[in-house]
Amino acid sequence: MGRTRRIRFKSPEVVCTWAGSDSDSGSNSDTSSTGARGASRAAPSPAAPPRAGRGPVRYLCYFAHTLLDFRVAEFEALAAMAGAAPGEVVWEPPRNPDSPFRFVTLPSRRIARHVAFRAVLLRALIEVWGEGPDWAALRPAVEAYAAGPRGARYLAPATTFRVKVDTWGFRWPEERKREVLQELEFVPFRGRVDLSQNTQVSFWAILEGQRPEVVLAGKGGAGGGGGQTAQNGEGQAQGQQQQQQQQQEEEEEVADGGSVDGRERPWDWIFFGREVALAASRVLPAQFTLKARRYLGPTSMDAEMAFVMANMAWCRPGSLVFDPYCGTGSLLLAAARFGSTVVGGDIDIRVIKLGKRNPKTGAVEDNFSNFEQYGLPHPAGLLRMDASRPPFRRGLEGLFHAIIGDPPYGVRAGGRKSHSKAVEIRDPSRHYASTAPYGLTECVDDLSDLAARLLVEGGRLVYFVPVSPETYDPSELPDHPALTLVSNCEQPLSGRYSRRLLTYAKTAPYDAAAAAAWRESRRGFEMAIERVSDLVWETRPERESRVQEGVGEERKPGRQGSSGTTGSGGTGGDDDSGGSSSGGGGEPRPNRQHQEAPARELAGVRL
Amino acid sequence: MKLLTHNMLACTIKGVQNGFPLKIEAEEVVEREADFDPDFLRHIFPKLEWAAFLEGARALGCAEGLPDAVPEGALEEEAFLRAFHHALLEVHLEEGALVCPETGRRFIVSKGIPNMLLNEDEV
Repeated sequence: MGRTRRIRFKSPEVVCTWAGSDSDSGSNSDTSSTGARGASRAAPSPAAPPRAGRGPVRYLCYFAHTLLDFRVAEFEALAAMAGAAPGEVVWEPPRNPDSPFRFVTLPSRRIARHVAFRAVLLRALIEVWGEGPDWAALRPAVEAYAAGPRGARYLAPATTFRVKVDTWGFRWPEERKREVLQELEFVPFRGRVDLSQNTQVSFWAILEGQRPEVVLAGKGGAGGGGGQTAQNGEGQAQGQQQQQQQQQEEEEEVADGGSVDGRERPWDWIFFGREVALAASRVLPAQFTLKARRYLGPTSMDAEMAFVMANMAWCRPGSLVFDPYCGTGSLLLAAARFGSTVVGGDIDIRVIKLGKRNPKTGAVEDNFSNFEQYGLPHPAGLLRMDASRPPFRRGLEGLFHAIIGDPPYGVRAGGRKSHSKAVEIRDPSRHYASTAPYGLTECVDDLSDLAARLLVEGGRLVYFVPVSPETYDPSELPDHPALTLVSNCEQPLSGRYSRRLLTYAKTAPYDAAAAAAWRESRRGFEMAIERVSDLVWETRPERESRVQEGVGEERKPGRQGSSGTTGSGGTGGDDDSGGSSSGGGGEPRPNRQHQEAPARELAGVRL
Repeated sequence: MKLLTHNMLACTIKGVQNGFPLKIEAEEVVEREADFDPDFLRHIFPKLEWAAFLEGARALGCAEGLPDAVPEGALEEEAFLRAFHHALLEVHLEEGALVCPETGRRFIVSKGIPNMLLNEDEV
C-alpha cells in the first residue's frame, strides 16, 4: 500500500521474532470483531499513505535487547547515512535506562524508512497513540488520536488490521493477553481483522515491565551480540532465534502467569500505537548465523556484529569496502549483503586461500564459497598482504568508501607483520616469509593512516579495539588529523574485559605532512591495553590469595620477570607456533585467546 | 582477483621506484557475472590508471570494446560502460602471476588470491 508499507518485511522469519504475535491472534479476533462493530465514519482509504506532515516525526523505537551500547549509535549512523544532519535526530531520555524503548524525533519519514530498512538492532518503529501507567491513563490520548485525521484512517472499515500484545520484562500466558485486548475495546476499530503478516495495519499494545538485573548482566556478557561466544568455534554462533529463545526462557523465570514479585501488575508502563515499520534487517543475523556458515574460523565475527559494523560503515550499493584483516570474511559478507563491492586482505594464507574440504559433500569450502552460500557476488579481490605494508600503488586517495576490520590484537599473541631479516631463500616459490609481532598501537595507527589516505572524504573507518577498565583511556585512541571519531561503543566480553567499536569519518583531505607529524607524535607510544598482562602481573603478589583456584594456573612462577613484552607475552599454551603468521581473522588467528586470556587472568585480580 | 584489484596493486619491495603496473601472467581466467552499477563505475573510473587497466584486460583477453583513450562522455554511454563493467568486475584471474615491472619479482596468484607478502630480504 502506501509509503510506510513498502518497507514492511514480508518474510515469515520476522513473525517469529515478535513475542506473542502468533498466539495472541485467536484472542485478537474475538476482541476486535467486537470493536469492529463501531459506527462507520468516513475516513480516507488506508491505501492513501499518511503524507501529512513533511516535517519532523516522532517514533517509539523498540530496540532489540542486545548490544545495548550500540543501538543508538547504529540508529544514528543510519539516519546520518540517509542524510540527517547532526542534531536532527533527537532522543528523549528513557524512563528506564535499560529499557529497549526510546522515543526519537527524526527529520523526515524518508529517513525513518531508511533506518528501519537497515537497522539490525531495531525491532520496530511505532507511532504511539497513547501511553501511561495504566489503561485509564492511556485512554483519553488514544481516543483523541483515533478521532483525529492521523488515527482515523487506520481504523476505517476498509482496512485490515491486527493487534499485537507484547510484554517486555515478563511473560504472560495467552489468557492474560486476551484480557489486554478486552481493555482495548474502547478503541473504535472498524476494519477487518487480518492476523496474517499481510495485514494493512498492525497495532501494538506493549506492556513494559522491569527486566531483572541478573538477566541484563547475562545479556550484556554472553548474549551481547555473541562477541565472546563467537570466539568458540563450532556451535558458538548465536542466531537471533537462539537469542530469542534464550530471552524467552529468561522471561519464563520471572513470570508466574499473574503477578511478578507479588505485584498485582507486572508492568510499569503501557504503550499503544501503530506499527510504522518492522526493522527489515533484524532477520539478517539469523540468516547469516555462523552456525550454518560453511567456512569459518574460531574468530569469525558473529553475524549480528558484522551487520552492525557494516551499518556503522555505511556499506551500500555502489560503495567499495576494504577489510585489511578479513580472515574468513564475516565483515566482507555483511558489507556485500548491503550491496557493497568488497576487497579483503589477510596476512595468513591459511585463512584466505586454502579453505577445507567438506567431508560429506567433498566440496571445497573457502572464503569464496561463503559468498556463494549467500548468493553474493565474489569479492573484487582477496589478497594475502601485510596491513603494515599495504601493497597499493600511489594515487589511490579517495578509493574506498569504507574500511572495516577487526584488527589482530592480543595480550598473549598479537598480530604479525613482515620484517626485514637476513635469510637464505633457496626456492622463492615455496618460501614462507617469517613475521614479527605487530603491536596493537602500531596496528591501529597504520590502519588510521591507511584510512586517512584511501577513504573518500566522508568515508568511514570502523574497527574494534580491546579495552579493560583498568587501562582504558579515550585519549589514547588514534586521533589522526584527517579522521574524526563519530562513535565509540562498548561490548562487554568475559569478565572485566571488553572491546570497543570505533567509528571514524574522514573529515579532511589527506595531508601527508600532517599525517607524518602525527605518526611521529605516536612513535614509541603504546596504548596501556598492550601492557595489561604486565599490569596485572605486577599487582599479583599482594592479591595472590584472591586468585581463584585454576585461574592462575597458566601463570608459571618466573613470568614476573618477563614484563616488558607486549603483544606477545606468551604463556605456555600458545598455539601460534611457527609460521602461523596471524594477521587477520579466521581459523589460525588465535584471537579467542587474546580476548579470553586477559579475562581469565583478570578474573581474580582487581587492579 | 578482478582487474579492479589489479589496478590497485604495486610491488612495494624496498627500493623499488616503479612497482606499477604489475604485468599479468594469466594461466586460468574465469568469468562470473556481477551486478551492473553505472554509479559505481563512474566512481571508480577516475581512480583507475587506464593504461594499466587496458594492459591487464588484454592479458586476460577481455579488452574488447575498451578504447586506448577514453573519450569524454563515454561514462554516459551504455556500450562503453558494459565493456568496462565486464573487464573490471566480471573477469577473474584464478591462476597466474603478477610481475613487478622493475625487479621482475613474481607474485603468485593461486585460487584467485595474489600473494603480495614480501620476503624478509625485501622489506
